[in-house]
Amino acid sequence: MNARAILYEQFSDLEQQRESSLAGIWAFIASEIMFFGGLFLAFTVYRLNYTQAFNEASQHLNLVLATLNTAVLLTSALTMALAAASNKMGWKYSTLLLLMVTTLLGALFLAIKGIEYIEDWHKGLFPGSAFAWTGSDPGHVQLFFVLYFLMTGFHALHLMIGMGLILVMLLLTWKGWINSRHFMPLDVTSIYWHFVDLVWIFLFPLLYLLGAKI
Amino acid sequence: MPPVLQIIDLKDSQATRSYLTKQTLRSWLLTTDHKRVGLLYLYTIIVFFAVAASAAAVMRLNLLTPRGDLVQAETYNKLFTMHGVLMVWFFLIPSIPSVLGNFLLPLMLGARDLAFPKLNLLSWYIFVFGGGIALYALLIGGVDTGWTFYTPYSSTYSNSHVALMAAGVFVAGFSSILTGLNFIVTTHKLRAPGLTWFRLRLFVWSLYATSVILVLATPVLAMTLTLMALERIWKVGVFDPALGGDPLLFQHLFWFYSHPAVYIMILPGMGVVSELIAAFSRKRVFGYTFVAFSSLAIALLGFLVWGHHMFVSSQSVFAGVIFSFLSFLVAIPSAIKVFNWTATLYRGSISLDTPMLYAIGFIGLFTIGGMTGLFLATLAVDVHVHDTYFVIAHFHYIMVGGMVMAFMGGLHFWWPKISGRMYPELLGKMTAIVTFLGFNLTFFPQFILGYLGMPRRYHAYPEQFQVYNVLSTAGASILGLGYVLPLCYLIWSCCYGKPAGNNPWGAKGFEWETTSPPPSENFEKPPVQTEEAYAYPVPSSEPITE
Amino acid sequence: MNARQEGTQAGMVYVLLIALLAASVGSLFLHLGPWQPVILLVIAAVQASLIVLYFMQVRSSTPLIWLLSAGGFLWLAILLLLVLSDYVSRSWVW
Repeated sequence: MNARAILYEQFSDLEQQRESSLAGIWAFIASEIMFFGGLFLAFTVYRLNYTQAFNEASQHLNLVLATLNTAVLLTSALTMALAAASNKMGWKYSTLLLLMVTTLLGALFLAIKGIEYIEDWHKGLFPGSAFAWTGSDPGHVQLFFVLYFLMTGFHALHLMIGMGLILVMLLLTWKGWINSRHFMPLDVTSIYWHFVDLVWIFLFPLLYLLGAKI
Repeated sequence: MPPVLQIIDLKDSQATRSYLTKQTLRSWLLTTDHKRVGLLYLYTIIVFFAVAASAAAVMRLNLLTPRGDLVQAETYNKLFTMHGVLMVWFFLIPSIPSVLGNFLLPLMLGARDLAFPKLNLLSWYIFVFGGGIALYALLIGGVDTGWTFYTPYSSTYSNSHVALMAAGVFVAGFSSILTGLNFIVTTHKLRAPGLTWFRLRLFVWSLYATSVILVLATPVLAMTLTLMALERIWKVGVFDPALGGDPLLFQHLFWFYSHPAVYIMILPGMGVVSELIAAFSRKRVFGYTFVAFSSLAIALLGFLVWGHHMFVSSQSVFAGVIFSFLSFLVAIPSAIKVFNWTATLYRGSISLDTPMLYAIGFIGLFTIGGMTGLFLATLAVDVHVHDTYFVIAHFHYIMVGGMVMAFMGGLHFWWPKISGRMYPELLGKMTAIVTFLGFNLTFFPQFILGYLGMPRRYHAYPEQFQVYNVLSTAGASILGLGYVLPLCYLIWSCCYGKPAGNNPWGAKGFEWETTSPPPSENFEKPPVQTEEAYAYPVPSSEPITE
Repeated sequence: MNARQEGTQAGMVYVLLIALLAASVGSLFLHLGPWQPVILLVIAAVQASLIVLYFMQVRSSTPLIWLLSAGGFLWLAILLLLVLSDYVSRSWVW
């Protein structure tokens, strides 16, 4: 097998280049954590202040679909991790297959999320002029839904970016540009994908579980 | 080693002589050479500086008379917003990091380029795009919220182009993040052999600390502005109390970014001054390790003090006490730097060239700016001077007296390296002195004005304040001269300056070992660090006779 | 560790992650009252640590990566703690 690695001129060896990519993506993720941090902060502050309204609002979300979606996303994390490992073994076709499954799971997540959004819209939970809340404290309930749509929306946006990256990786792996020697782009994509999961892992309990009444 | 190693050359390998040899538009716009990207940033920020400075000039002219005869209140609001937004995000934040940092970081590390050269060029394009949006927002009518975009005024009441301006700042923020990321990775991974952390130049330390802030604070601003703009466009509550939100949350989020951003606007300046003091005293910086760590300490502490901008908001008094205390702590690393610079001067063989004049000016002005900062960090005193010209004077002493002086000093110091030619020294010295005097005449009266109670952001004022305002405006015109002159003679020197040679200052460091201007690949052969930084020969130890 | 072991390990981590998901949803049936948020956040934190350490491979990375990955979370903690210090103490009086 003719696995080629590319060394860019500013680096003196492949090890240094790999470490740099890894450090780069992690610095970026630190930045992303702070980006979502603003939303998490807003949610925490308002939930502490308006616990009642937030709990009530949260009970109108679809817990079953969200749990299912969490499982879908966790599964995609597994397939992504396996894809990265399989690429390092030089198993081109299993890497391709796993990457495809990961993208499809991402799409499935978005589809389920879409169904949820439509359901929310019909229940009049979308903030703005379409917001129709008959219960008490509509102002703070609407605040919950503003944050809900923003947080899940930004998460979905990042997921779509992740899917785009995986599609590029699929192409590069197919062409042989990503291989057992030149694996860093795929590893970096994998780390980004897991970060998107990480966000959801906190969104799920905060938005759906904290106020749930069973 | 891999079986087949393919080396991809990012740059034009024919351009061997210097990074400036090839002069086509395409070679500039598609360059991945960090030195060229640095220059692209320089040209861009000069434009923004000119626009923002003109806004300040009109404001100062307007304040010549108590009634504010030149512009109307609304225009005045738009002018100070324009001045603030452009100066903060499109001049000060990219000034030293993106121009001098880009140019110098790989040179000082003995590296061929930054870790991610293409990303570096992309950062510039993002910056220009963001700046374009901001300028467009100004052209179609401007924004009247002040650079702080406080809600609910910005999100609900203002009838100006707030969302567009926020979009410009948002986009430019990504440029900061990517630059910071690039610098962090480069400093960690691309140091020359032998260049350990404690042999790094102090400018590199300060850039590293700055980058940490850029990466961790800027995204919070991005989210804050997004929320504000969404509240404005979507008309749903996030911060608006009428819609269930809390406007103070905006202030928390905004200052979580914007206070550390103040340190983005001074730390690189401190780094430059460390370089200048060492080079022109012919001495290793006194207490190197302390100065290095004080940069990191300022970066960290800078994240813990933002609440001092909110003492007179309805923030909890207890939180206020904590923030006040933490703010005082920042004085420690700052003072460490000032004391160590002063100690470096002691028994150094000092030469007062232009860059050194700027550096000494910096130390004095920064000290005044820092000390008045302690007034503002004091809970009770802040109640008196909050939102007055005292605050304006304070932060201009840091940002103009500090950062811009350092930037000018650095620009003169490394100009021979950048352009390969010397600037006219006598003119340079005169300009440095003019800038220092003009600056003090502009801003010192504002301390008095503020203490007497003149509030900021008003286009008219009671007659008793006129004397100080006239002094300030007179100073501003002198200060303006101090900025126009270098622009003229630096451009002149590109053609007619005397060739600089590799090391016109006899300074220590990798960048002075390569040619001026350096070749595209920076060094003929990769340098190796064999001694500590600033290893100037120790002067003879005979006692000084009185 | 070779890639095959890495695969096995990933499978085990996945089983744990799903089990923890079940645990967090299941905990709702126990009606834990004020402890509910604590339990949920602890479970989320454990899941996140598993992903960071194993899927994102921080566990087998250099100190630099540990530093960078911890940095983001640490700074988020600063943001949350200091802002909450204001909100929590706002109603206090001397």
